[in-house]
Amino acid sequence: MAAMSLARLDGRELVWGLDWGNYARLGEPTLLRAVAVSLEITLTVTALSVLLAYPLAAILAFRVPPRWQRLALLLAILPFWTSYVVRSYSWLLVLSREGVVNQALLGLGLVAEPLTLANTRFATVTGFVHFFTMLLTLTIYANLVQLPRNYARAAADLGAGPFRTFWHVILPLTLPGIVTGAFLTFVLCIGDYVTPQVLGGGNELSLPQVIMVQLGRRADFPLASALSIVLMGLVTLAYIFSARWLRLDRV
Amino acid sequence: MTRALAWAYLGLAYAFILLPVAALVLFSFQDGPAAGAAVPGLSLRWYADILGDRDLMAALCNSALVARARRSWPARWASSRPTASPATSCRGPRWCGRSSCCRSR
Repeated sequence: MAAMSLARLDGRELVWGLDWGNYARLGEPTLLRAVAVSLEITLTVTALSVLLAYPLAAILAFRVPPRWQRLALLLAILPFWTSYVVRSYSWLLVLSREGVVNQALLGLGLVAEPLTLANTRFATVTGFVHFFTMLLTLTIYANLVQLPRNYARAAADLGAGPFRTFWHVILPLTLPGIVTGAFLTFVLCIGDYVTPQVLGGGNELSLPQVIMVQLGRRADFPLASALSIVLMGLVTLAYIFSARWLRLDRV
Repeated sequence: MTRALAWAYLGLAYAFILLPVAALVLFSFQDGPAAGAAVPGLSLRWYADILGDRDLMAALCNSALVARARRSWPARWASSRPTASPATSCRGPRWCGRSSCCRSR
């Protein structure tokens, strides 16, 4: 792929060589826009998923009685049983103009006419957050139940309230798990093609979609390779940023 | 107070997570072909359609075949016995039957 990214197209002919033209083309507004869109979506999704999953995992680990925990966890990851593509399309059923959400809002009289929810960035983010909340709930839950209960008890003994206990004891101890989960989310989300394709509509293209356009419609393999190298570079950057807390062996 | 809040959050989170699956199940029993329309009546016609469609059943068998092959792979690497002949490795679960899976062979 790296070698291909340095090749160039002469008409329909592929010419191998050392040509930096593909990388120079990365400055084009449409390609820069795709990188920006992908980064925006991915960062939003990662932040939202962590914020949604942490309380859920904590409630599952600490509030739900132990004998119900297995069942509760199973319910929380039930949609994993269907395929990824099917899940994306089922969000279309929920968010479309005649979908479940709009029917409910119309029935309650909250809106006068159906909202456009599908085929927007909102739909893409919703689909992603749905998937990654499940994933992160699993990883964070695994971290929380491994935590000895005595740490929280000791903090309470020393006079810390629930918030201080969480901030100074529980959060630092589970940070490696969170960051690992967030890193996985980032990697899977920024490289994903299916969800933005199904839910995002054609208004804005994410980086994988642009790569797919280069491959499928224009057969420009060198440019697609250069874009893929950029994608790898972004993931590498994310790894460098999170490497300090990353414990891939502890997931 | 925090207790009630926790249970409320749990309920909302489950609603969010299970909503698309619930919609999927609901629409699979729907009477008409239009996706997203209100459900006028319940029917099993789509399930009957699946069971009656040869191509769909063949696709289902292919998926089952892949899932099965994946499960038995590590065991095959571990032992030194010769790999199974194509005739036996090309077999899904028993309910699949051989004819529909391996029509191309």
